[in-house]
Order: sequence, then structure tokens, then C-alpha cells
Amino acid sequence: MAISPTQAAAALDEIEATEQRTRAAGGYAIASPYLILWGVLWTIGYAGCAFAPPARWGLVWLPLVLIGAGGSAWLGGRAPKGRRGEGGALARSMAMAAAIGAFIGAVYYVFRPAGTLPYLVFPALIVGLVYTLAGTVARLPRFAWIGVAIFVLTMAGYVALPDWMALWTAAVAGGGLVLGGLWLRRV
Amino acid sequence: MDGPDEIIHQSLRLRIMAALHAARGGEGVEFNRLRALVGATDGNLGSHLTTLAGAGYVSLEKDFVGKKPRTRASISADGARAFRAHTDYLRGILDSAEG
Repeated sequence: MAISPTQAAAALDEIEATEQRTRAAGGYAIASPYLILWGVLWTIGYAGCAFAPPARWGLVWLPLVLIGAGGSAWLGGRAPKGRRGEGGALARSMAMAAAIGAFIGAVYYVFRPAGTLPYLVFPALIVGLVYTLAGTVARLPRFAWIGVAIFVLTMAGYVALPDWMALWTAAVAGGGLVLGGLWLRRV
Repeated sequence: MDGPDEIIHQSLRLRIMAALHAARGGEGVEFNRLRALVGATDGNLGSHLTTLAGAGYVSLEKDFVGKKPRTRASISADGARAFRAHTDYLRGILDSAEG
């Protein structure tokens, strides 16, 4: 069997595309349950903000964040070998989440928002940005689409529905993460 | 390597080997997932997996999840070696053409 340079190039392209698709599917399978978990918690948290006074928002979020951290550790432990990502992936994700939380807190401290609206909007925008960047850098396009959708819909709510922002964010950020997590389960 | 690996070079088998090589080190790739990754039909995939398993390049593991049968495929050490040798051969053709 003789293989021409054109056929060899086509075969190598096919290999590269299949390997990239397989790696992406593996990454999506790892991330999917985390997105669903945090999406549910965000939906509950933001919906809670719609009904609780701002002074109680910390009490709404504290148990949810603890549940999320515990749930993430549990998911990391029960994932089958080969779906846990590279060594220390969970620890790196936790460190990244802590860095993002610290960044958001620092921005609030420095800029001291006058009303409550920025407290609702800013975390969702940052999460949208993080998923967009992660998807672009790691060549995981579905992450990027999830990030873009959360970012754009959050901004749309900020402009058009500021009085309903807590419920809107619950729907588009929390719901967006849940739907995104379900989408990632599909190859 | 003197020539191409004729078992691997067939288009669908090449994609199967590429997917299994990219997923090596895990618990194998489930049949339905593999079918979606390589764009094959059930019958096609089953037939080519049997060929690859017969050559010792792929191992197939069948079990049950609840009452549902499950087949998982993974690349063997021989398969990974043969796949890498075949891709090296393909790159060699390109290098020769460019040089």
C-alpha cells in the first residue's frame, strides 16, 4: 500500500481532530457534574437573594458555598479513574475558585458599590468570563459558549430588568450552569 | 517502520485508534461514546473493533451497569506502539515530501 503525501496529511489531520474531540469529551465529562451542582446552588442562592434582605445574603450563601465545596470534593473522590483529570485537578480547581472569590471580594472592597445590584451581577459576569477564557485557552468550545451565554444574558438583565436581577441571575447564571452541565454530558 | 500499518490505516480504524490512544490510561471508552467520537454506525464500529481486537491492538471489556450491558474498548500496549509507529510513518512521508 503506497500512501501519498496528501493522503498522509489527511490521515494526520483526521488523527489530530479525533484526539482533540476525545480530549474535549473527557474534559466535559469531568466538568459536567460540577456545573450541575454549582448551577443548582447558584439558582437557590440568587433566588434566596430575591426574597431575603441584603443584610441576610451572607447567611443565604454561606451554607451553599460549604455544600458546594463539600459536594465538589465528594464528586472528585467518586469519579472513576481516568475521569478525575490530571493529578491535583480538584485542588487546582479549588485554588482557582478561592482566587476568583478573593478577586471579587477585593473589587467590592476597593470600589464599594453604592447599591445591591453590582453584588448580584459581578460574580455572574466573572464566572462568564472565566468559562469563556478557559474554553478558549483549553480548546473546549462548549465552555466558551456557556461563558458567553452567562455573560451576555446577565448583562441583558442588568440593562433591561434591574428590579428582577436576583431572579434573573438565578435563572440565567444558575440555570445556565445546570443546562451547560447537561449539555457537556452529551458527546 | 518499513511501511504503513494496513490494519490501522483504514479511515474508521484510524479514528478509533486515535480516540482510544487519546483516552488511554482511563477505564476504557464506552461503545456509544466511541461511536459518537468517531462518527460510526453500530455495525461498522463493532466490525472494526473486532478487527482491531483480533490484531491485539484493542481490548474489549463487557459488563453490566444494572441490567444494561456495557462494552468498553481500550487500546493495548501493542496497539499504542503500533499507532505511534504508524503516525511516525505518516509524518515521515510528509517530511520526505518537504525535504
